Amino acid sequence: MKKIEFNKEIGSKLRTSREKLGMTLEQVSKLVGFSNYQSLSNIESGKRSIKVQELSSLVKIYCTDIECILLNKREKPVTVLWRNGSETPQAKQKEQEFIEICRNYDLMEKKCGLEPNEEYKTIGFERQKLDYESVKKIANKFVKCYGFGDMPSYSLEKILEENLGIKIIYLDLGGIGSAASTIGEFGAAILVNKRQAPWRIKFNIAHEFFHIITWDIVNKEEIRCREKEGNIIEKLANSFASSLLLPEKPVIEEVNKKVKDNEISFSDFIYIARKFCVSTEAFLWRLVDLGICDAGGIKKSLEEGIIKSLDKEKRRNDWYTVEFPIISERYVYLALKCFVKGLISKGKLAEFLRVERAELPKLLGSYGYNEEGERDIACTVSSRHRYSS
Amino acid sequence: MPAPFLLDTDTVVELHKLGLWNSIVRYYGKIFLAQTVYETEVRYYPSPTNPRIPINLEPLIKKGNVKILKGKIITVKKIEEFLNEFDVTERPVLQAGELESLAIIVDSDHLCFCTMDRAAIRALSMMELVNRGISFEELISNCRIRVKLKAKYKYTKKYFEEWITEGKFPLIHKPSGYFKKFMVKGKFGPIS
Repeated sequence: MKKIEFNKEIGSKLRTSREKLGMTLEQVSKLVGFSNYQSLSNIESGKRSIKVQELSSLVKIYCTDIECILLNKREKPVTVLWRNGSETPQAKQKEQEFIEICRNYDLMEKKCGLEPNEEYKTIGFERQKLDYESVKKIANKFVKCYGFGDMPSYSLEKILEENLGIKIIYLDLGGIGSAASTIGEFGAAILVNKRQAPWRIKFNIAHEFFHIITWDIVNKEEIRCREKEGNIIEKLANSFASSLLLPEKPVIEEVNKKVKDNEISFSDFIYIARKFCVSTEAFLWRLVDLGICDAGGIKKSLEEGIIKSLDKEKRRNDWYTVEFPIISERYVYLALKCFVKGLISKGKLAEFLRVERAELPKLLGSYGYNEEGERDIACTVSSRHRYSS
Repeated sequence: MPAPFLLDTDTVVELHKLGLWNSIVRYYGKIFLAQTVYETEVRYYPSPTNPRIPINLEPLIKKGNVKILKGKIITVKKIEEFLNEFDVTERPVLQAGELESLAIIVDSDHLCFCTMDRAAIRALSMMELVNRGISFEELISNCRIRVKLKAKYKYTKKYFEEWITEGKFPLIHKPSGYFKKFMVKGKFGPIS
């Protein structure tokens, strides 16, 4: 290919990437450090060759990679369904960042030779049976089959990632949305806003999980307008999340422990909700659902605001004790595995883990890894142990 | 005097960390860096008390001891050609600076690449450019600087050779000289 044609092709791909994010020439030029937008405009029209470090900066802004721009890697469009999402350029950038992390995640899985895990597809829902009862039944089945235990919140992310093959990504979404989910060539993934309260994050993950397992039977437009009041799919997703995080038997047992003379205090409710790592409001509605409390009474108490202020006071410390990572432990593990095996370079490792090179040792240290550790295997397991179940 | 050296980001950072940067540059007289490595990657080095000490290469660039190989020498087109020659499944995933440095090595006929990055060493080996790479240990020992290298295995020649061997594995599936077919040597002539 001639140089001019090559420049035009690269320029066109860069323009598409920019427009996809809704960014202007001026905005991007400023971020790259061009003195005016003409340079970028010339690059996009193929009038000027792009330098390697300029391309490197642009792909970072566009949340893509050099190989994607230079090689004819065709990437299928991905549908991302947002919960309380917006259509702003910032939201589009976060969405692209989410997709790029998912692609990197998938690349690392493939490099490590892992078979695609699509266990989540085995959970069958039928559209005509999509009602509150069946949703609750499926949630209960999940808790039993996948070993969530009595407090599913504590093992939720691990089970979804390790056993069901769903990627979980935590990003600071600010005010642009609370969560999102998608299924692409890279598999299923959930995006959550790491700036939200830990119990909110757990609930959002469980909620988005419902959208993943009903992905093929629910009309995307039906989910897209899900923030609208009265959206049945959203209500079902909430019911599923509630049943999953608050299994009937352990919840009733915990409540019974606190009941004295048929009465229970708000503080006790908050205590139990904290124990299950759910919001007090979600917990109370679950009690209504289980027939333990009266809906009218709970609604009145919530409207009066006493529970909310007490809840806020009691949970003040909870908010700060849990720091969600940007990416999951499994993602970090895979990235380090690829690095140790020489499948990705150190620069790429830093890029995948979204830190500067200088910050790598600190980040890896926080996950208990040491990039200086040259030996990957700490001990060998004899075949007798390896093959015995 | 050994071949002129092109250093990767980690090598520059480690030399600063060990306080050897000026000695090495002074000994060799001229050190080469890819433009992306210089402009976007070599930024800080850690010390026991400060994890982010800025790296300033300007004084030695002004003196002509550090030469930055600018975009005119290695174009994005060259990077594309370089990437296209690898088998997609075998290709190590590299950052822009590493890609640019390796494309420079492919395009030059006398520069020698010093890296301690496993993926970059594997790539050198996969391209059958083993004789164009050098370990950190060799870079230092050439100028007779004594450092306790045992503390870090990645500095050593043994480590470098181990990863060269790792990189040779995919060649079993490819004919000899597979990667050499795209090498156009000495495109930009001897570097001085």
